Amino acid sequence: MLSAPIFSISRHRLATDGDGVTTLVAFHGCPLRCKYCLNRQCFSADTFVQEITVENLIDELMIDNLYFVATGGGVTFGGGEPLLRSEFIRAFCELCPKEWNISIETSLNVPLRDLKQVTPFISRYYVDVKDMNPEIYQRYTGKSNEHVIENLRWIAGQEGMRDKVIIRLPEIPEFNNKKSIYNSEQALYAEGFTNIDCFKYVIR
Amino acid sequence: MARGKKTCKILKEIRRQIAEANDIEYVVSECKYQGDCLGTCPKCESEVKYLEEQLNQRHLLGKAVVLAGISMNVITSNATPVEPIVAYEKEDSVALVDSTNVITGRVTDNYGDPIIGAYIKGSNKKNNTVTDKDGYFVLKTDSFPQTIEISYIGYRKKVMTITPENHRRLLFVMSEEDVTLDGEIPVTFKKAKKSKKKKTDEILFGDAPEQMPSFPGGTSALMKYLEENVQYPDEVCAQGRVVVSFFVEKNGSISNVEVLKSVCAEFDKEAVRVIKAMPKWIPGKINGKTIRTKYFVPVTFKVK
Repeated sequence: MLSAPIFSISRHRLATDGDGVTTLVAFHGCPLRCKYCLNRQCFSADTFVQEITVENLIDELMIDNLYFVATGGGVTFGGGEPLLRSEFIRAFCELCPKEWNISIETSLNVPLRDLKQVTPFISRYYVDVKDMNPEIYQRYTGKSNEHVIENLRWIAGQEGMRDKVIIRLPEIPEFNNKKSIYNSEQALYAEGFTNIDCFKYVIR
Repeated sequence: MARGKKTCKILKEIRRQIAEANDIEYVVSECKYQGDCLGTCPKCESEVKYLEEQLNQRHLLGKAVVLAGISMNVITSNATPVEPIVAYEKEDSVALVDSTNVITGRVTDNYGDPIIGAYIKGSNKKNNTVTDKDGYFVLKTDSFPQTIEISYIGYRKKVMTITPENHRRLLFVMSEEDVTLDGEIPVTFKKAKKSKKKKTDEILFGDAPEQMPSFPGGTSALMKYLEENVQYPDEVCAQGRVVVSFFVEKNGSISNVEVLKSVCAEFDKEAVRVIKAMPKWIPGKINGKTIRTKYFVPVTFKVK
């Protein structure tokens, strides 16, 4: 049976992302190496990671079924980069109760085919675009944002899909500035992405 | 109250509502668990089990089970978000409740002071409004969800989606725009035309320069121009800020001058006069191509 490396399951998140009570399932593994990554354990080799099968995960999350259904909540897949496990997520969604709302927190920095795998099941996407400027992105994450751009364009072209997307547009000290954020915002807005969440990374 | 306890309390309230909606006997009692409760102590978990059993029995007996759609308000109004996966300072804060066909709210700055004349725009081009002298606004709407955009000169624009569950008594806190924006003023970009999609994409996601339209000499020159040219109408003794909208055409000329936020007929007239009399602007550019852009300028009248 399909399994995936999971390093954290966090229950009873209240209106953190999405509606109602949600459980966050965080996958190990990420293609990016962001300078201010808040979840370094998501790619560290030393992290305690459990390999969990789809069935076992559903069983484990079922304990909060009542809360999910009553509040319109469900499961949020994060990480790491959850779309690296798109096959697993697809299998999960096909098996879990249909009342669960499935959200995903992603950088979209994966090949389009991985995104396409899960799109029929996802009710909300939290997309951390970092900055739309390729140079800033490369400097901050160590990777090109070609996939991100390709995937955003694809989403923009899909009927009704754009509205499921919430874009996270951070102010990243030493990497971008108000001007580049403003440019990113205008770019996204013109493509029709209107749920844009601007915030600032706090360096501790 | 500790975060864990707060979660526990909210989950308890959800359980109470489920019980009530389904006519299940459920005695609310304070959770006495002393450990690190996150709503997952043995007693709380056993209550969930009890409810599930009761609901199952009802289901087996063919009784209707009411489950979906309850307790959203409890969650959104009382909850302290638990451990967001990305730690950040959220600049938007939102309060809520009930329904009709208006969106109501208030716009303030970081210090909680009202922003007067902030421009609120709905998805439909026709529905827009500005905040009143206390920062309040009422925006008519015909459908939900509705995306609204809040802008004010010198502040970073906000875009929020308003849902049927959450469209009253909203609070928007605006943060100041960095002043090093080379004399640019935040504006609402005209949406890219579909027919030009291919071209637009390249601008949108690439690193090609975007040039905002500007008053010759930048924002400070604009402010100076206004200060020097606005004449305080004799017959009125009031103060206020008229917000004027207009388009900067491709050739830099000003068109479609309209009063967005009116103070009184005399002020409005004078503000429109001064805006119309402005010299030609430097038009906005996308990917080297000049474009038509909408702008907002507040014209302030003060008793000297």
